[in-house]
Amino acid sequence: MKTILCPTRGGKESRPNQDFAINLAKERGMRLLFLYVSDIRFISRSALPIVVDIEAELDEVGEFLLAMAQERAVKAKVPTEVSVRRGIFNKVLKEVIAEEGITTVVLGSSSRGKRVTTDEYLQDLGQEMNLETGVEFIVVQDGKLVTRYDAIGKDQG
Amino acid sequence: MIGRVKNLNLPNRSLRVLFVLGMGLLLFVVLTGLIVRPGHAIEKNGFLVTGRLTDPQGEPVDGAIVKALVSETAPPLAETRSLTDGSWSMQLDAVPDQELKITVERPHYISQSTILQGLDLTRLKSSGLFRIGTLALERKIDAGFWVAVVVFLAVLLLIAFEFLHSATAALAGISVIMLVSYIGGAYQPDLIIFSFDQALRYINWEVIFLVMGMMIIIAIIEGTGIFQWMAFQAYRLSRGRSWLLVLILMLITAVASALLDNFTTMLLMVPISLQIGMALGINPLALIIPEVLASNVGGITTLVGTPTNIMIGAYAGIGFNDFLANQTLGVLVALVAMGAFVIYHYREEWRKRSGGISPTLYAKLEENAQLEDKQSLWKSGLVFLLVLAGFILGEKVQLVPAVSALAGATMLLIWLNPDIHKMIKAVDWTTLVFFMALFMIVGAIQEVGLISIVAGWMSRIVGENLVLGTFLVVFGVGTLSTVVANIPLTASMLPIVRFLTNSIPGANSLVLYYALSMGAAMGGNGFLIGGEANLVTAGITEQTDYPISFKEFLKVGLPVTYLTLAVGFLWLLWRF
Repeated sequence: MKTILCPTRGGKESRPNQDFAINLAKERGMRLLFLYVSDIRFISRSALPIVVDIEAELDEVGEFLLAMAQERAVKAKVPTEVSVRRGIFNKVLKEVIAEEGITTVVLGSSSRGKRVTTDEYLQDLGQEMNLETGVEFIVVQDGKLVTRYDAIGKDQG
Repeated sequence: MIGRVKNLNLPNRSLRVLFVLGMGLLLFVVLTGLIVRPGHAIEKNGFLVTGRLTDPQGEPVDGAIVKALVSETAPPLAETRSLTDGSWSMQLDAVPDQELKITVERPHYISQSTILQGLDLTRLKSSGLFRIGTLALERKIDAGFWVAVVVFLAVLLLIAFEFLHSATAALAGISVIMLVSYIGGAYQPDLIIFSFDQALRYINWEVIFLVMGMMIIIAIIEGTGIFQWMAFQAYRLSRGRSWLLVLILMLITAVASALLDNFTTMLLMVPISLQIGMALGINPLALIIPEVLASNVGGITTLVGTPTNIMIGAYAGIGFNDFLANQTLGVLVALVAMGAFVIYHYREEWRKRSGGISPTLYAKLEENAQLEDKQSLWKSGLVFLLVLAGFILGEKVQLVPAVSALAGATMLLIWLNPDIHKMIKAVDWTTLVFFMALFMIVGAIQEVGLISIVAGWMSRIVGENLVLGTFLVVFGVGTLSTVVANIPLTASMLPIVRFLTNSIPGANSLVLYYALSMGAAMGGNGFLIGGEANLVTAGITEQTDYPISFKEFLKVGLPVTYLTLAVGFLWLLWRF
């Protein structure tokens, strides 16, 4: 079964983009995989003792976030799985694409509230990943299609 | 001795008492004779000249070379070094008839000399002793001064702008200072800042061992999941009332920060709070930002709550009980004021409420907040209580907190028998290296006189006004701490506060050290970059859809900073 990959950070602002991925999976009859990636490089500059297994703590946050997304996908009757990974996002994304046989990736951003990533960054990332992995990349904002990069190049959405 | 008394077979008790008293008197005479003998030796064999050296602020100057000369060309009659209390003494075999020149030399001070002649020499010859009194040495701004100051500022900037890891920056700083001292100093003596031996003397080992012991204890306690469990219970108890939840979470965070350190507390609290916030349907930052603010303030309640308190305690000899007695209530009042502000600031957020979460998600949340290892929890809890008892009761027998912490850590290692390699890894050596290097760098600026100069400025501003001094330390350090990392700031401020404590009448209550503790910790709430706990909180929330922006933190943090600083200042005025 073909699989859509939806990397997410799981808050309220991400829901329209998650819903886009859910609807797309439903339309295409594909399996959906929600991905959460934690990257704890931010902690390496600290001067204070790090005695907490922060990666394990973030894994639990990721599992909870993805469980919320999965619950909505299951309600929409889309076969959904979740994956919590650790590392640098771009690198992990490539690994998951290869390991899970991903055919489409939905990358989302939000125009509301505070933004973790910019549209420009996501479009560049989508294009770069599209060229490297050859899979379809769809960039969405607030649940609306912004750009699509298919296996053979770039189509404006 | 007792056997002899029995063998003498003395007839009655009063005679035995007299005998013991007589023997005691004999012993006293013999001992007194032994004690006074060296004095006779000096009179017979030589002549003693003594004195004391201070800096312009009256602080003792150690390591100065004191020489007794008859003429500039002849070798010195005697030579000695001043001790840590600034005192020095030298023994002369003979006293010249004309004059005796006493010279004092020390890097970063203008050399001084004093001449003994006439009556002074007669007195020295007749009594065998001459006290020169206290000599105040003037500071010298030399090349070493500028090197140390530039290196110190560069280290602060490297840390503030994250060009280098704090430990790397501090190590780089002390390496430059040492290399300049040894290599540069070989060609240009003014470049000598201090020797490696002198640098090592500035490391406060009590701080290092206390932090190390607490790291092991915390590593074991954090693995039990107690704080996450408490946060989940708060969620359950509040029954969807977010304003109540935030107050309970602030209290839990403040208490946890008082016992652990606030950085670790936030590492434990932020992930579960993110989940609880999302479960409630509110912005989790409305819970997390108040938590980090409470953490920065709550930590100063106890000696072990913040690294800055550990440094202050070890430096000024302020114990666990002193912090509890002199800061706890003030901090609680500051927390109440903070709670009121937070409730008001996030008033819109409390009105939001989701329809609740599904049983599956609730179960997931509960699972993420469950107690991990109940066996370890009660054992580590018991040992932690013993360590606290050591902190509280140990002061009566001069038991330093570092020993209590190390003993507690060892007890846990033996009792729980965790993987020792894992536990040794839990000791963050990077942090300890940072502390050691930082102490040496601050020692360097102390050595060249920067601290003395700043202390002099502050002294001129404050005069003998303790209220003004307290105000300046609380608000001055608080304001600086909003942008400068509070550990190097506190390390630099400690000698200045010691000087002010010695010079301002009434400051011997150590009020200025408490003012430093409050300023350094509360100031950390001003900006996102003001404290390690803030930065790590921002780092974790950035892993979700709820990153903390500089502006968002500022809107809450800055008013809370000055509100709590004001409460803290008023508390210190009332308390002292």
